[in-house]
Amino acid sequence: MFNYQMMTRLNETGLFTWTSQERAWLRMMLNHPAAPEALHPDTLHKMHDMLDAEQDLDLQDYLTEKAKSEENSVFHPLLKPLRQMILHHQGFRLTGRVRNGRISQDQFGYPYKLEYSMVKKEWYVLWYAPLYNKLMSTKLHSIITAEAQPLQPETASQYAAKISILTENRKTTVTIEVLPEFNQELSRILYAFSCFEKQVEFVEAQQTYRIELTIPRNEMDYVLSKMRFLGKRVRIANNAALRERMSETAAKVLARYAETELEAMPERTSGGVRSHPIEKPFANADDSDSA
Amino acid sequence: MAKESFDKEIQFLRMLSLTSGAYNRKQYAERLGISVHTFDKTQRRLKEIMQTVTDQRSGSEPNKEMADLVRFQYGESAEPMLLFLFRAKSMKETEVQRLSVLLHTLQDQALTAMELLDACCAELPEELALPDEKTIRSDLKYLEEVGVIRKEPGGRPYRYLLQQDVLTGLSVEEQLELYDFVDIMANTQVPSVQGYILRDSLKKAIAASYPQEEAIEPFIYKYHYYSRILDEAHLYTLLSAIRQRKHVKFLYYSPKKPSSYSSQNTNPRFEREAGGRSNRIVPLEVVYDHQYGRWYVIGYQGRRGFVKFRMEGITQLEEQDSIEEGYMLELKQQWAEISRYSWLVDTGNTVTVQARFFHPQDSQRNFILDRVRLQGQWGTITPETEHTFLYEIQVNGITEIKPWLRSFGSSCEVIAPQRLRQEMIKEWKEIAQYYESVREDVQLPDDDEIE
Repeated sequence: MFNYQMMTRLNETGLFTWTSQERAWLRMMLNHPAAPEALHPDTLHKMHDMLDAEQDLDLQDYLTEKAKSEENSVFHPLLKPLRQMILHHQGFRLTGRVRNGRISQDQFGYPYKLEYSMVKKEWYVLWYAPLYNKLMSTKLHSIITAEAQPLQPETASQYAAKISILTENRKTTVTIEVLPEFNQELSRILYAFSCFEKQVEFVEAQQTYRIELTIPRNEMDYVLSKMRFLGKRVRIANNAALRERMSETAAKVLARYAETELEAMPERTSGGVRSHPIEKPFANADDSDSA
Repeated sequence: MAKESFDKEIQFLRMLSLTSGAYNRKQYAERLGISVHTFDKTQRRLKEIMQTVTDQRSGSEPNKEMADLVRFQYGESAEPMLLFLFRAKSMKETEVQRLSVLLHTLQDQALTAMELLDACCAELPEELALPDEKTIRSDLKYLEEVGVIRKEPGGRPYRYLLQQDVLTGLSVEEQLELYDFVDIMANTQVPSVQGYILRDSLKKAIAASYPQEEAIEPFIYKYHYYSRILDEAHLYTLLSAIRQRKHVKFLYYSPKKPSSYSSQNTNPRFEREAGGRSNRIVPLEVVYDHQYGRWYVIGYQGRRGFVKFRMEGITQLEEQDSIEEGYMLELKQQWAEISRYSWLVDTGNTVTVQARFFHPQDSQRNFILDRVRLQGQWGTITPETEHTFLYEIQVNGITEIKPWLRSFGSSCEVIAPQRLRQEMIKEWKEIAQYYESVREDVQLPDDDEIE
């Protein structure tokens, strides 16, 4: 249970143990609004019966969550069928709403993961589109229908191989430098980057920390948002395109402030509508969220 | 039974996972406030635990560095690598043997203490000293306390049985359904360690019916601060102290200081920079900060008034004497009042922050508005022009909300208070300077020239 050797021994014979803490936790989670959506009424009923006698944790009296994104739902009805398709290596035919309001009809794809964004509180299905040889990510909320499509096992494993190649190709690195005068805040900075794959380097002579992030290319905007979040404590060290974007943002922000300062002067009361271009949105600009 | 304390291991793993690769052994040891020898020993022990735990899942690579083993790998798995810490409880080999014999014997039938004693005597290897009745009774008491076994209804002599209704009471499909639910909740809610541990056991349970890998890893979670689970080791102690109205005492290492732990070593060489500061508080509330993925404990400390500690700096946590109910309630109410407008835990003066947000251009969906709605806590949103909206919020101090506002880049303009606006302008000027060399084609207005 709490000891690794013990756990190993119990596992050898497939013995299942659970402690009252685990049961109390589960009981608490069964009271979450997601439970009736995620579990079949019979399962839910059985679980409630089973855990009825357990301790009630009442955490809301002692535990407060701050700066949390509002949570509409942690479950989505399409999770179950999509999960089954992934389990059985099936493809699907997808009909959904695309960004500009159009409907995309009947696209063939091979789903491989269900991804939840802790920031946006949304579920996505990650799938492979053989027709374009591309990896796709679709919000479950924009799917109208997803119909399972049987596949030959060989086809499925070919797709799986493609997926791992494409995933690898998509990765890129960004190096971020912590300005030495903010080394005191290293812990905070590293916590903020702890949601990325990373490698840290410490150059002792300069007392400088360099954080190398390995991310999929389409997550650049999120990294940028983190950079803006941390402000002057960090700087992008190696990536010309990202440096350009940061520079551009700084210039736009400053122009923004300069403009209202001018407007505030009585002799310059020209219209309130800003004509300044907003930073050019990347393909995935709406992913530029911050935690 | 050995007391569960992972202070050194937590600090060790946190440092490894946050700064993976930054330091050599000597530097790590120095920062942890332990000797290189202790560092090596701890590393060996943790590696062993980790390998024992992970070997069963996948062939882990024995020669990998510890830092690589605890490194976060997005997309490969939703397996929280640091969870193995919670398996680090030390137990004597004989205890391990005895307890597992007891549990295995109870797997199929309910038995009395005496019957279990017989079974133990029959099944334990000969070279081990045979347990006596007293030992078996204390083992059973422990197992009952943690809730793994329970007494069957009925009188003496009591018969014990294993709590495994979740397996026997559910069909194979229902087990899978429950596994998915536990996976999702453990990954999206706090606290999560208990859920991860449950997920672990359920995974083994479903593996028999669903051998394919896709059965156990269909979900991944993006932007997840998984190092938060290390601090959960203190969480239950703190929550139980609050619930039972007990003082707590601990040694605190400020995360701003370079060293984060020091062994309770008798060697005077390592004693000098103990650095930690002893604190005794009335614990009132635990706060989880989603912005950075960090835990705080809020308490009251006599002359210092209300105090906030980051969980990452807490070691040697101990429950102490009781607090009078009325007093604790009063403190809780006071704190609730003081922290009402804290963006996180700041209790500075309450100010009204006002910001103008700009809609994205050429985009169908207003992701700026969506994000402010999603993350703006109790602030209010008022439409302004066709291109802008106003956001207003009362907060304690401006420090904690500032990073969030700044993360919007040029889509956000702070209007009030004037001080925040000025700080924002100043910071953006500094940031602009960092990237000067790439700025040639961006023309700034004259008044924005560098000070």
